Amino acid sequence: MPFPRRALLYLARKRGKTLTLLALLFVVAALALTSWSIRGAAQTAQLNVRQALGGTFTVEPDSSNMSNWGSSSVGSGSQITFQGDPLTADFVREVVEGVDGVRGGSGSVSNVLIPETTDGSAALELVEGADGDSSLAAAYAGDDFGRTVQFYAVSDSAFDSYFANGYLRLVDGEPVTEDSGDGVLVSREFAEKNGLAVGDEFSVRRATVHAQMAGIDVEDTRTRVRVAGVFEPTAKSQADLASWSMDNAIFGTISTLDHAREGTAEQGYDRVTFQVDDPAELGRITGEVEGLDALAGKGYLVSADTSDVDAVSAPLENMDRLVTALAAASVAVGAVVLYLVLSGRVRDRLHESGVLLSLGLSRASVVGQYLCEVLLVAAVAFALAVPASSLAARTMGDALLGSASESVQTGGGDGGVSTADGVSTVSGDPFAPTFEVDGASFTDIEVEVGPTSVAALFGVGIGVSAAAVLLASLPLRRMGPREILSTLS
Amino acid sequence: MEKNPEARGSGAPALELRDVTYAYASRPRLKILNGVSASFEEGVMYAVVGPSGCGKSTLLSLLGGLDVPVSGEVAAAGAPLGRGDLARHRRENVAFVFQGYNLVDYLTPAENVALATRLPALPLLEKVGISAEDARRSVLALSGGQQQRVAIARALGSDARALLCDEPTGSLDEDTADEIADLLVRAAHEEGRCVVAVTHSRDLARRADRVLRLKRGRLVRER
Repeated sequence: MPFPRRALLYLARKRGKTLTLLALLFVVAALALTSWSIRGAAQTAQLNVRQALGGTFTVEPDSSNMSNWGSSSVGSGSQITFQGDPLTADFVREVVEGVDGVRGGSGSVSNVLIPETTDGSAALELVEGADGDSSLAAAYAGDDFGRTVQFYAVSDSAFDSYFANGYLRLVDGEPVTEDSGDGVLVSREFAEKNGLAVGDEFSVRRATVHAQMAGIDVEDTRTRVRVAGVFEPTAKSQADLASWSMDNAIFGTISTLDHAREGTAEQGYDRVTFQVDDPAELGRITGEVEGLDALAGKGYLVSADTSDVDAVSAPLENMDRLVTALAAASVAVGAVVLYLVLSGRVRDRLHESGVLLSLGLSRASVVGQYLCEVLLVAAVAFALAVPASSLAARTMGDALLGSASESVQTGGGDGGVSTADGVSTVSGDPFAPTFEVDGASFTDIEVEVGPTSVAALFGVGIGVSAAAVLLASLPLRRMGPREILSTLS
Repeated sequence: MEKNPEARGSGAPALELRDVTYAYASRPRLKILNGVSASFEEGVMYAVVGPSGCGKSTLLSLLGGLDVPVSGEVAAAGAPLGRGDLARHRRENVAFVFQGYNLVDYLTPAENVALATRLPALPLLEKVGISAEDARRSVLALSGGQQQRVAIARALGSDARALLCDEPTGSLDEDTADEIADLLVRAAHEEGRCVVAVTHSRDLARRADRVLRLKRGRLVRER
């Protein structure tokens, strides 16, 4: 009688023992598969976090070292300006082309301007919103300052932190670079309110109060701009003045801003923000950037703030470690329990083994029968474990990742523009708008038992089961025929 | 039953012990068997008797290839057995019948017989008095005598020329033991097998063609 048939007969007629083994293998498999699937989801969440946050570093004049700064008179007042080489688009190109791992970068300098019709006969209509908590709105009530919007002069809007981090999305036209001349980007709502489309023109000028402080005619600051593209915020934003919200913001070139506010181009960008491929590389990249001739010893500060990434990643990493430990423990404990149970079964069946051997059956045939029994039961148990662990993984994973996500959303970094996700988009600009981002985010991941996990379960499970049977059968293979005979007496 | 044992046997030795000495590895000076020589012929039933612990089961183990002597040799069909021949010897030349029946409890009597032979099981079982109905029941539902019959049918189903029986009637009542003894005698006389039965039973010994007594490591023919 071939051993597979003996195995089938044993399983069919020893139902209690078969069901016990089935239950054991099912529990171990379901536990391992569940924790493995949650681990996979946690790692996906971490990857998403890294990809969503990306890695950025900023180069800006070091304001803590005043030896690089000087005072100059402007109109009736004075201003403190950086005395070193200005940050330019050429510098951005030098870094992007010279340092491996830098995806791109954009210089940025902002000021407030008033958008009007081309001839300045009428102010453009602004998107209404609520004022922030500061006292700015009250201070400038009745002045045209209340009609100012944020104008961001950028060297490449595609790599500006607002666009690169997904808070603004270009929906029409093309990005603005230093070569765009008078091209600007406006929001869809602002464009619709004023009947603007790509290619249309309007003008911007300084606020009267600013022109008076500089001692210049406000009309001399007026410059004509052309709509090069239309963007759409992906979330609501709020600023100190309602008019400074991102819905009214204008992205343009530094030459446009220089026309409205003379001297801006000479001063260069306030800061350059670079995007890197992998946040883990930030240390190396910033080290190489600091060593560039264009920067070394010239009073610039290179800073990479990873606190937001760390704050978001930490809970997920902790959960990943916990679930990995659980997965490893369930496999290890399962393997040990399986070995103990199977070795007990083999010991209990030593008598039967002796009978079979005395009938002339080979040891391979006897062990093959035990192996066949366990593998058949394991295959059924694993097949049952797949839907069960899929359900368990989804339920437990949602709860675990949900709590991790909550912890992520309360752990934003200090300073800069912090969103509900803890994402910092701009640092060092206290007047920049802040976003209110929906809580559903990159940690909202469906926990699934994938085909890879199932294949791993069958591969590892069958391997562990087979190893346990072979290990448990060692005494049988070591026993001499005489010893076997004595067990039969 | 024929009472002339000398007339029994084909003269062809199924198994032989040639100057065999055996001692346990733990007590090498205590010789369980000491220079034993004996020939076991086909068609003859042998009874090996002696007090408990005298080495009867050891003798059976050596004949069955379950153990090897310290010195001397065991031969099957005239050919000495080397260590490499033992597995084949157990598979092809000998079949065991034990006191405890040793049936596989999750198999039916027919399936137990099928473990040892490709011959149809039912005729073999019928030959030892097991009905077709009983042949399909659980072996645990059979009486002790019926289980021993199944064990003998299983042994008879194999191609082995020698049946080695260790106390085959030890746990059976008198009538059943007598029936089992009949089966063993028939296996020797009608099928021409060599039957070696280690026993304390005088009745079984009386039914054997030849009786050998194991005493102080020596095998002495009593009859």
